[in-house]
Amino acid sequence: MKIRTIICSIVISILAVSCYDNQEILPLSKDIIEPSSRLVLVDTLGVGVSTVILDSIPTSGKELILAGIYNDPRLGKIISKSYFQVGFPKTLPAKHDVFDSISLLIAYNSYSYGDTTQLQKLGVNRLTDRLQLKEQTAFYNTTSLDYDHTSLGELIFYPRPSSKEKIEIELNKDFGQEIFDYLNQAQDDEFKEDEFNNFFRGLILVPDEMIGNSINGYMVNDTSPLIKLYSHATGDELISKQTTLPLINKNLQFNQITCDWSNCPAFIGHKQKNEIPASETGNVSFINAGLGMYTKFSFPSMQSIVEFENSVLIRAILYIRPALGANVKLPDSKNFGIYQTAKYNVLEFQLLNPDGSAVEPTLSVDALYNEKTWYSLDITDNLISDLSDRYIDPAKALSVTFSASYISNSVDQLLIAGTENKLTKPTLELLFLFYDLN
Amino acid sequence: MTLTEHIKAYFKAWLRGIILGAIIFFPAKASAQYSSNSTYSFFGIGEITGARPIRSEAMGGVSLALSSEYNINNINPASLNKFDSTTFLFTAGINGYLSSFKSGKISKTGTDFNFNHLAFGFPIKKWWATAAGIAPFSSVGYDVKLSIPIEGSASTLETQFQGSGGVTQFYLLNTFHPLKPLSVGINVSYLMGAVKHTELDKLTEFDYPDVTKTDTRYFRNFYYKLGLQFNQNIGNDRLSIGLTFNPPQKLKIRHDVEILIPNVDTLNTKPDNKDIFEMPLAIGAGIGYNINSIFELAFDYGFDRWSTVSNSLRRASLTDSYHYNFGLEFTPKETLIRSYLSLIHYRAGAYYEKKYIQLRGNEIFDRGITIGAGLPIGRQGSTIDIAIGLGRLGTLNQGLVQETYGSIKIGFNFHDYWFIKRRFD
Repeated sequence: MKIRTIICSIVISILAVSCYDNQEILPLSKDIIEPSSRLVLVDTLGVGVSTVILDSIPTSGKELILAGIYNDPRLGKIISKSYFQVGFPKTLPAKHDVFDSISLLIAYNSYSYGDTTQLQKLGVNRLTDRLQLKEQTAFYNTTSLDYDHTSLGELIFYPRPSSKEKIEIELNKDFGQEIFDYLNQAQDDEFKEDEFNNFFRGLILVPDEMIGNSINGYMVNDTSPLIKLYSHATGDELISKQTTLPLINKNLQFNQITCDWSNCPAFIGHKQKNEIPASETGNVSFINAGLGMYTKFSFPSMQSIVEFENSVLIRAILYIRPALGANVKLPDSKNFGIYQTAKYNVLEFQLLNPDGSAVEPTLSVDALYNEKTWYSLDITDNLISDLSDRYIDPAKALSVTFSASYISNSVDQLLIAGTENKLTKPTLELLFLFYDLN
Repeated sequence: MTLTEHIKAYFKAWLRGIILGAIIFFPAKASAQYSSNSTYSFFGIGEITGARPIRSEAMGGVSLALSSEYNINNINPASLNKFDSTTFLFTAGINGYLSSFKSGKISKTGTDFNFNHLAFGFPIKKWWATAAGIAPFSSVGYDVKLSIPIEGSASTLETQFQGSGGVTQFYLLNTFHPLKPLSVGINVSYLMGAVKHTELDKLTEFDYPDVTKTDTRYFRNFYYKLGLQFNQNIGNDRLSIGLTFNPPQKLKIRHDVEILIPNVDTLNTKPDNKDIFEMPLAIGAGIGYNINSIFELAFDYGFDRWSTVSNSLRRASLTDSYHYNFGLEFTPKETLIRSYLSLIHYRAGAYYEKKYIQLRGNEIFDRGITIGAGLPIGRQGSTIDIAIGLGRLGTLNQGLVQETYGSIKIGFNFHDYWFIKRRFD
């Protein structure tokens, strides 16, 4: 090989190997290099807090009886009544059997709200309205049907929500005899089930307003609630018999949950479209499942952030502080539903994560000082999509309520701190990246 | 051989060289770029490297008063006055650095290999010689990170800054020396290149993808330098004086900014801020003394009036820069021993330079010592030059970065006699 070739090869190689290798990044101890972008945390945007009571929430077909009374110190007397219907038995008593007694049996489902150490009185009344849907698609927490105010039976008891034993409420013997006779009659006639259901239209569990301070849950399934007719056969031996009237129209069983607002008159005559500011309800707002109450967070000055030039929203987190800190049991994050609400407090849509799962707040508990007891709610995606058209509808708000499955299945409540206390007021933390286009 | 045949022969050699080089070094090519590997290259046009012949690099950077038949001294355009009428010179060089960067109490190391220069030169007339080449003019290379406080919060944002690229100089030197001992010269260069600064805001801890800002500045324009050299023999010795002068000049800039915000937008702008980069008036003066072709001593001083130009350097400010270089070369020849060792040029030097940026009130100095050798190859004056240096750039004051570096620079000077047919080829 000629020397020229060798030298030229070397030269080309020199050009080719020019490279740079610096495995580690040097952290500068001072900002001698000027960053052209900066991150700014804005947490001074005002957050409005108010309570909205939904005009109604569907409670039928939830397979849960909620019955009882609870005196809420901030709201008033909360009463839950439950409607259901039992139907024609599979086997009828024998023709010449003799009626003995009749009882309603219901099984606890372990749910409870309030003070179960206090005696409770539940009455059973007979519906005079039929348990039938007309135009509506469901029965609601606000639905009330007519019933015979003469009680068929009552029970005063200490609720034991975790007990496996059913409670048994003995009903009026005349009523039992009437049912028994109707069934005996039915053996002779060509029986029509619908006729029986019209004759016996259903029952309502009515808590006594004076006795009790808890609302308890009872199962709704094939064995609860049901009616037992006790009878015996006539003959040489006394043979006891039972006839069971099982639950029918399970999807029509519902709970009527009301409050007299005696401790919070601001809610009297409420409408969903009129939110009640926390300042009018003792600097707290409410999230209550059975009563359909949610807390609305509004951001009246949000439009001002749209005006930020050359910036991008990186993160938006709403910190919501429970009014009572961690001194009460705080609902799990998964029990919440976060909605965007529009004008007249209409729930527009539920906030979802990119994977389709529901956006949930994250609970942080600071048991010692409560200063960092909060639910933090990442609303970045929602806000970014709002900001994309550079206009924020002032009527738009975020509503924090219990999830759809939870709201109809409990009377749980969470108190949210209002804006009056600087330490506990809700804060919206916005992290912006400001960039320099030069 | 005729001139045409010579040119053909060179083309063939080049072609073979390209193919061979490409085969051997193709894998390395993927990451190839030249860079300076210095945090201070963040500012302005980057670190002005002023690539010198490796001979000078071994002598502390002195070059203004040097001239040689076997070297292309691109620093003084009047220095091509030793070319013989048959000289053809071809030269190329590489640099390698091993650096330790220290900021506060943390230090990191990095290595950096890059191309130093590539040039060829030959005489046109007895009184006129020319050389053309390519060399880095400035270079940018850094990779640092900063924790920046988030306004309104106790936490910080980590931002990574990366820089790369540089400005390349394509130069044409012309030396005229009709009246010995004086020669004058001009270097007409075209400068072009892109400097890329990337700023990466690491937002992962805020559940947000990283935001990247890429700022690219394309520099270009002609750039001139005038030179003068005076060589006077005094008995067997020689006194040399060299002067260079750069008038104030302006480079044009095209400026592109891209901000990439994942899932949101990619913003592109061409900021209409000042679209020139001013190069200041610069002067250089050097003196050399050669004793009996055995010792050569030289001293350079250079001054760049950066304080009079108005480039925006963000957090840094401009300050006049200057440099002192001192070097000597010793070539034993037959005087001492009759062996190859006696043919080697032994070199050493030192330099002290004040850079053109000032940061937080601190001037940035670069100083170091060098040693090296010129190893003759063959009998036609070709050499391999090696320069080894040890230096320190910057300061730890006020959170600045101090870089301690070792360097090795290798140059290939291929000297051929044109217009003479060699007996063995």
